[in-house]
Amino acid sequence: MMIMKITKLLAFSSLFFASAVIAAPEVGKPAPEFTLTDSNGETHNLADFRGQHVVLEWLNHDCPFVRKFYGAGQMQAWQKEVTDAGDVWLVINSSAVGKQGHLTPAAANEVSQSKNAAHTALLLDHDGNVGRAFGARVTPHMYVINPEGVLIYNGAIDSIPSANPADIEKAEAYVMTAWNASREGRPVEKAVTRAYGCGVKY
Amino acid sequence: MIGSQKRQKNSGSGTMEKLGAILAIGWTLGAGAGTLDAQTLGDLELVTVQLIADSTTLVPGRPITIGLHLKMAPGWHTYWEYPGDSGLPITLDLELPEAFRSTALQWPLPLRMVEPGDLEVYGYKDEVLLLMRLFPPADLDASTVVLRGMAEWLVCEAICLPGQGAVALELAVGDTLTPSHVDLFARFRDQLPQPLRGRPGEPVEVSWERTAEALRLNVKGPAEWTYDFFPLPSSSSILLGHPATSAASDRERAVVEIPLLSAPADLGRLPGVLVAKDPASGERRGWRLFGP
Repeated sequence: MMIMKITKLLAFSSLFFASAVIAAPEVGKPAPEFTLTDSNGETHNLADFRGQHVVLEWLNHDCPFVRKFYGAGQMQAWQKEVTDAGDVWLVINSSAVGKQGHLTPAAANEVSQSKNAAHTALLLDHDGNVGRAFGARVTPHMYVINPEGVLIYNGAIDSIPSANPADIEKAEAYVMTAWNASREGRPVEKAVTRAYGCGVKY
Repeated sequence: MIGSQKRQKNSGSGTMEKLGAILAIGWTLGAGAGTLDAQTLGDLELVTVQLIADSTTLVPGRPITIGLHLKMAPGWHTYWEYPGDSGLPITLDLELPEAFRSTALQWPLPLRMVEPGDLEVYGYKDEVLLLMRLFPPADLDASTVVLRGMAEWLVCEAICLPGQGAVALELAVGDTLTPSHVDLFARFRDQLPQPLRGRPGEPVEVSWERTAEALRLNVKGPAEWTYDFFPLPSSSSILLGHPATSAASDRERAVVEIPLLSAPADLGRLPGVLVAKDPASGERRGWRLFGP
């Protein structure tokens, strides 16, 4: 009798966990591996970038929170800083067909060019599998992976959740702080933060 | 498309821009009601915002209640002070006249809503009145007082658009208060959570348990009510899953399980709002729970 009850309770609680969130990879553990095709038809495997830091940026170019950073030129500046340093910046578009921010390869290139984006590649994840594997909730949800392939940052782009570009310079850019710390061999103090933005349009 | 955006307010998607999204500002004045500002999308009025007071007059030294009144278009929602998985809380930056004081915004009980992508968010549909107590100085020497502020919000349906509105409210100074918007203030005052201090005589009792991956809020109260919990995590490094309520086996209690995706090991409780609903009447009431 007692055992039956406990089993039932466990079944309930695991249901709650299952419905609670899409899986989120743990900071300090290897990042989920993935292979995606970019806007130029080239295939990229996360494992190809061992030895470099990799920044992941979830993109929906019509989302006001994404526009906040691109409109101010800030996202491009950070992309350039990272790629100029010899590291990798991957932009990932998980908007499904027909949803806001969905990019065909041609549209993706047009967006990149018109914004003067300085990323390594813009990857198309239209079935959302990579987004879900990383637990990407919003745009721009940001991640940093170290040269050993370990996830060292998961969360917000910066410390002020708003759609107002005037807040950018007042905020702490968590993603860049994490990248800089890891490059300098220091631990990442804020390794997990609450990402803000528009829901990813899976 | 990103670069073509001149102002953050009211420009969300390229498609919508083609429909001619503009910010329209209308002006209406009523007793105890300030200027009305609106966020529009084409012909659709997405949000109107107005600062109102529960008295059209102000008496030196006598507090009144003012409210930021937002009305949302059908299907669109704005956000509570903790918005959940995405979204932004409504904000009000209010300029107070010399020697006036006010409380922070007081938030009526939120609704739990689901956005695409299994995002759980907390906010308001249709309309909300955020309340503040306003304390004029006892030695107020003026015939009228004007309150001015800027409200900002994010309004979402399938897409999200940030909005902002300038609000202003003029109040005549007199000898007596002149009640105004009585029903509206009463309706939303009833929806403010009351503090739960764990004293005898309170209708519900709560206790917390911590497991490795979750916090569990045990609620003891009338069995006919259903319970819900809206967390207010104090730090942006605390990441929560979706609270889920189940009835405990003895049926005298409910258990709210709050998955912790990232939290300090010693986190033993969370501030938040416990909401009880009477399924018979549909009435909701809430209590504010305090953090460590």
